[in-house]
Amino acid sequence: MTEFRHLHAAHCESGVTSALLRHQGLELSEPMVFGLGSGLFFFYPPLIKVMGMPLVSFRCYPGFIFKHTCRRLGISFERKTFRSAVRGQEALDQLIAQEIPVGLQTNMFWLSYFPSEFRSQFNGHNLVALAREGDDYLLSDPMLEEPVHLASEALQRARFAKGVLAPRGAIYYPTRVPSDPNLPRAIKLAVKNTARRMMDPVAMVGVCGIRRLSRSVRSWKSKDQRKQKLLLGHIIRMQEEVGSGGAGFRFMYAAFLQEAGELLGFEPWREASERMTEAGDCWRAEFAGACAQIIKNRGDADLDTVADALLRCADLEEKLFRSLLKNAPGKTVHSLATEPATASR
Amino acid sequence: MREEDVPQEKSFYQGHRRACYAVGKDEHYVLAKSAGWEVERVATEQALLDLEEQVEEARQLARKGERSPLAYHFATRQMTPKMAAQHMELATWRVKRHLKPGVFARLSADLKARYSAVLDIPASELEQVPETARHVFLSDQVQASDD
Repeated sequence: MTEFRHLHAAHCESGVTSALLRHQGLELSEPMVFGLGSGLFFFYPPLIKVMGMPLVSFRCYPGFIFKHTCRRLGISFERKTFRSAVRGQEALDQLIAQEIPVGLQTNMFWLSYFPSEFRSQFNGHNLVALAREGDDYLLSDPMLEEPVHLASEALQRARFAKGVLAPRGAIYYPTRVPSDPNLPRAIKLAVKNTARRMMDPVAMVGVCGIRRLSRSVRSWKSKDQRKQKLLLGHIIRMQEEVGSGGAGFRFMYAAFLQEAGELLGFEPWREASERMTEAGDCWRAEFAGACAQIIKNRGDADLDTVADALLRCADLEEKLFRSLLKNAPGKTVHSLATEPATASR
Repeated sequence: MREEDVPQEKSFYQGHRRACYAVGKDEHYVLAKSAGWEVERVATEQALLDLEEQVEEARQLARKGERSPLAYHFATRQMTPKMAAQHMELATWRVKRHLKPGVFARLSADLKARYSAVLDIPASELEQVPETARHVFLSDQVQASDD
């Protein structure tokens, strides 16, 4: 068995997937994995609260990227969750004793190697377990520059934490990687799927979700200032903090579109990549910038400025994803005017 | 974002640098490293100060004997009573009841042991609350460098 190479990545799950596949001999960049797994998303459901804050997500749920990357490339994989923490630990120990690196879903709060400023009750952090050394585990966390050690008790807590998206000790690893996966086909499927999901007419996801968030922001005027600031800060944290590679994964997806376009020799995706970068810049400079102004009482931004910035992000992304649906490689290029306002299934 | 515009500003990263994607000189995306971004720091700082405030509020209530020490320990673990109840495998209303000092004092040894396991606190400290205010999440070093 070859030695596992640690990967320092922007996002935990795409980093873990990329590292696990590379270990099996399939070299894919992190943005490529992120794109193949349709990692990009926007989700703003009503009612669901995490620590008193509304759930706003710029990506799909944990486990999605690994599962879909594997499926689209014809990779067999194993993913298990456990009711019993003891069984979960035994299963992990057996696998790493056979020198199989295993992906784990964990709660960030109990991973004591992070500085206390980053530890929060977030159940969707992914990392790779490499070996057990006495009462310690050797872990490869893509957020860090080097592999780390963690006491087994802490890892057990992290794997079996409860709450929203409880990991239930989830372990996953590829079992069989085909020697020549059909990458172009997988890319086409993945792009189409992402674009469809982002254009979904359901009001809590995709472009519609961004517009709903914009409406919510306007409605926060009735809340007191302190709460307003906390809510805006919360969205920025979801966008930048959770290891997104910048602008809520928009830059990573732009990198994917660029790489995919060059691989397939498909020119329109180069332009799509530029538009995605534009949308990412809008998220960072216009939206997050205005939020920070409000939080710090600098400048003259108000909730309407923030809501308008969100609408601009939504418009940019809608145009982009509609063109991705229309102009796929191997398909005649249509004019943009023929598509109805909402995406068809 | 262009590679030369990747922010290198003050942050909570404590010397680490975070990977992010940016457009390089030849219009190709590259993996760049960012030391921190002011906008993100503002949001993080605000959230941490809010958490610290919740901890301090719980500490004072527990010192005054209006809430049980559990309320303080939940705050330091960023746990809501509901989340704690899921860990304890109890109904949420029972955990909420344990936040009353009187009820907490009469708690069985078994339940107390389970709380100390779930909260990762030595049994001897479960019934104690620090006398003075102190930061749990924000390290003092970071605060000193703040504006």
